[in-house]
Amino acid sequence: MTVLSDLDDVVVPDRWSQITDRATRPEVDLVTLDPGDRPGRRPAPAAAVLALVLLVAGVVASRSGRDETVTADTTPPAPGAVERDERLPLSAGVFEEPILVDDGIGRAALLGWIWIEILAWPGDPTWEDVDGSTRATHPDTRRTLTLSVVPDGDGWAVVALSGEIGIRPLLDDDARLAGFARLGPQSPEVDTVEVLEVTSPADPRPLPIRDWDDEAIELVDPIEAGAADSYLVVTRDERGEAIDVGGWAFGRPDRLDLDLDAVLSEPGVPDPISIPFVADVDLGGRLERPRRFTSVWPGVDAYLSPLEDRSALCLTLVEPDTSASRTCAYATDFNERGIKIGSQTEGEDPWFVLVVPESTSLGDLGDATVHPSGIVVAWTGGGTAQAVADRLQLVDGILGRGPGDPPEGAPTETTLDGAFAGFGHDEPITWSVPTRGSTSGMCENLQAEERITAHRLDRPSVVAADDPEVLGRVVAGPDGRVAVHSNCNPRPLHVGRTDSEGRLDVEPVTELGDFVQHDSLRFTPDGRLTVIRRVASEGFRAELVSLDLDTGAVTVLFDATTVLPGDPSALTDAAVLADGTLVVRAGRGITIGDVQVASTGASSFRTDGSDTVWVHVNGDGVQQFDARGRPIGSFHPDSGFVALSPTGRWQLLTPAVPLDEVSATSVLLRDGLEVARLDHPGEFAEAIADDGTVVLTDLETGSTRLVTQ
Amino acid sequence: MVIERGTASEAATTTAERLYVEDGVRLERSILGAFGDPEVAGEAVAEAFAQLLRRGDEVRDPRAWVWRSAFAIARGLRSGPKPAHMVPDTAVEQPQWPFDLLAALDGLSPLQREAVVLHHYAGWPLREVAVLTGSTVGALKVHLSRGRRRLREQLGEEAIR
Repeated sequence: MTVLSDLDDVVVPDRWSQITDRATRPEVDLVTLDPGDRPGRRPAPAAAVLALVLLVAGVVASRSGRDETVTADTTPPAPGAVERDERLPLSAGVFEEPILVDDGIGRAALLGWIWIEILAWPGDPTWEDVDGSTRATHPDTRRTLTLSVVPDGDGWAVVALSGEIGIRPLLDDDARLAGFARLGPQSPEVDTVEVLEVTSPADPRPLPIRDWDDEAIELVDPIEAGAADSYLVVTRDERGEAIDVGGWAFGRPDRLDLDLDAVLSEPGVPDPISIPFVADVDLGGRLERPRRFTSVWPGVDAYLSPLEDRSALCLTLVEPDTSASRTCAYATDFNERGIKIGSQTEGEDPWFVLVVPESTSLGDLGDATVHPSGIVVAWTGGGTAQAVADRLQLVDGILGRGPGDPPEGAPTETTLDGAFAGFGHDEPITWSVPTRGSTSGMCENLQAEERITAHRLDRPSVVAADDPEVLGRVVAGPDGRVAVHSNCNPRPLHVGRTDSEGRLDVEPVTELGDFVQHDSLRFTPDGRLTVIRRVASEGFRAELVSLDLDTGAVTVLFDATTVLPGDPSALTDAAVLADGTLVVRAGRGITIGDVQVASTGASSFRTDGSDTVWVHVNGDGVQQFDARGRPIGSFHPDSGFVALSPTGRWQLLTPAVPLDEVSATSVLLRDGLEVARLDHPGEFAEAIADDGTVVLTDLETGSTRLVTQ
Repeated sequence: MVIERGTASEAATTTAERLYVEDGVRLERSILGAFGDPEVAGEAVAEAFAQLLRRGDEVRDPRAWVWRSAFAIARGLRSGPKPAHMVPDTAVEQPQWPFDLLAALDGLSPLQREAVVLHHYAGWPLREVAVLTGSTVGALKVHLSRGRRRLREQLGEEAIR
C-alpha cells in the first residue's frame, strides 16, 4: 500500500559537511554574477516581462479594435552582458507570439494591470519616450504613467513605475501610484535592489514623501522579512530619517517576520506615518501604534492598529466632520492583496468590502452564500490579475437541504472560474462567471473559453454562456429573468432567461454608462434592476440607476452629489426597499431614506427584499431598522458578524472574536428574537438558510456541515 | 546597496547543525515529495542551510526560516535552469524508491502537492503551511481537500493516514 509516509523510505545522504563547505565559500557578488550560476535563479526576465506587458497590451488593444504593430525590441539581453543603465524602449503593440511568464505572483501581473489601465483610457493615450522610458499620458486628464524595463548587471530586470493612474477607480478615482516593482525570480538571496525611477506623484494632498529624488531607499532583506519574494523599502530623507515605508510583499503580510517598529522607532519618524502600501507591508498585528495609510475613501483618514492580543487589526476610519469610527478586520481575513473589512456572505447578492493597496488586486478571499433552498456555495480564491491568484473555487460544492442529503446528480465539488456566484430566486441554480478585473471594471485578457457556468441540483453543470463580451456579474430576478453585466466597461447589460438545457440566452438591453459597478447589480422585489454607475468624466461621480426591463427606461434614483457634494465617488452600495425607500452606503455611513443609521464608512447593510434593513458595524453589533430608519430589532453589541437568511427571517450572530477563537457560541435569532445558542467548538458558523439550517465549517479541515434547527 | 551578512557565531553554527540533524532529512524528503526531483531537494536543503550558516545570528527563527527558504529555493529550481554546481544525488542507493507515491503526487497541482506534503507528511499546521506556500488558510483547505481526494483516488483511502 502506498502512503505518504513512504517518503520515509527515501535514503538521504548526510549533507552537513557539504553545507559547511558551501557556507564558508565567499558569497558571490550579486551584481556581477552570471544568473546561470546562481541557485534558484532564472535567466533575466526582462524580455519575458516585456513580452507579457506587450502581450497583455496587445490583447487589450486588439479587443478595443486598435490595430497596432509590434514596435518593441523583445530580444532577450544576454545574461550579464547588458550595462546597468541600458534601457529598453517600450511601445504599445501586439506581441505576435505569446510567451508564458512563469511568475506565479503579482509582479508581472502588476505591469499588465497597469498597462491595461492605460489602454483602457478612452481614446488613445499619448506615448512618449522620455530618457529611455515610456510615458503614457491620459488624453483627457493628462495623467501620466512612466514605465521602464531595465535589465541590470546580474540579469535581473528592474521595472520602475511612476506617475499617477487610477488603479482602482471604482474605489478611488484619485488613487495614486508612486512606487516601483522589482521583477525577478523568487529567491531568498535578494539583498539589493536599485530603484531606477521613483518620482514624486503630482498629488496636491500633503504627503510625507517630500522628494523622492533626494531620498535614499534601503532594502530590508526580504527573506528576513518572511517572504522570499517580497521586499520592503524604507525611505529616508537627506538627514537619514525614515519618513516613509513602502514596497511590495508578495507573501502573506500578516506573516512578515519583520520588526517594523524597530525600523520605525528611530528618531525622526513621524507618527502616524504614512504607509502607502501598508497592506503589503506590515499587517499581522506587529504595529505598536496606529498607522495612517492611504484611505480608499477620499477625505476619510484610515488608521490601522492591532488588537491587544495582536490577533487582528482594527481599521479606524476618521471622517472630517464626525467622530472616529472603528471596525476590526479579522486576522484570517487578511491576505496578500488586501484586508477584508466587511462582507455579506449569504443571500442572492454576496459582496465584500476590501481595503486594498491601490496597486494590487484582489487575492484569496473566502466567502459563502446560501440559496433560499438551502444550497450553500462557498468559495475562495479569485483575483483580478492573471498571474496573481488561484482561480476561484467552489469549496464544498452544492449541498443539499439537510445534513448528508445532497441531491442526486448534483456536483459535490466544482471549480468556479470567477469571483462571483449568484443564485436565482425561483430555481435551484447557481451561476459562476470569470470575473478577472471585476472590481475595477477593467477587462483583463478575457478568454473565449471562459464562460458562465450554471450549476443545477437536478443535473450536472451546464454551460450557460461563453461570450467574453457578456461574461460578468450575474443576478437572477424574481421572475426568472437573469441579468448579466460584463466585467468590462463600457459594455451593455444583457438580460435573458435560462432554457431547458440550462443555457443562458441573453440579449443586450442597454449600456448603462461608461463605468458600471457591476457588484452593485441587483433585482428589486418588483423585478427592476438597480446598479451604481459612475461617470468617469465627472470624477467617477456615482449614481444609482434603475432599469425597467420591459421598457428599457433608465431612471436615476440617487445621485451621490446630493449628499456627498465633496466626494460624489464615495457611494459604495445602494438598494431599494420594497416600498421604494433608498438605502445608501456612502462615505459618511449608511442612510435609510433620510435617516442616517450608521456613521461609519465601514458599516455594511443587508436587505431581505421587504422593508427591513440589517446594519452591521463591525465591533459594534447589529441593529435592525425599518424602512423609515427606526430601530426595530435586537441590538447585539457583542456580535461580530451577522448572517441573514435569504428572506431575512433568520439571523446568525457570532461573537466578535478572531475566527480562530470561534469555539464557543453563535447566537441564532428568528424574527429578531433569540431562539438558540449554538456551541460548536472548532467550527465557524458561516451562513443560515431560511429553514434555520446553519452552515458550520470546521476550522481545521475546512469540511462543512449543516445543522438543522 | 548590499546588506552585510552577519558572521555565524559558534552558537549559531551549533544551532544550525542541530536543526539539520533534527529536520534536514525530513525537509529533504518533504521537498522531494513536493517537487518530485531528488536533485532539487538536495540542492534546496544544502543551499538553505548554507545560507542559514552565513546569516548566523541574524535569523531569529532558524527552523521556520530554513523550511521557508528551502521551499522557496526549490520553487526557483523547479521553474528555472538548474545551476551547474547543483548537488548530485545519483550516487545514493535507494532500496525503496516511492515510485507510486511520486507518480500520484505528480497528478496534483503544485500548490496541492506542496500543501499535502507539508501538512500530512511534514506535519506543519495549516497556518504554517500557509506561510510556507504563500497561500491563505482558507485557500489551503481547498487545496488540501482536493489534493487528498485525488491522492485517494489514485492510491486508495489509506494514502493519507
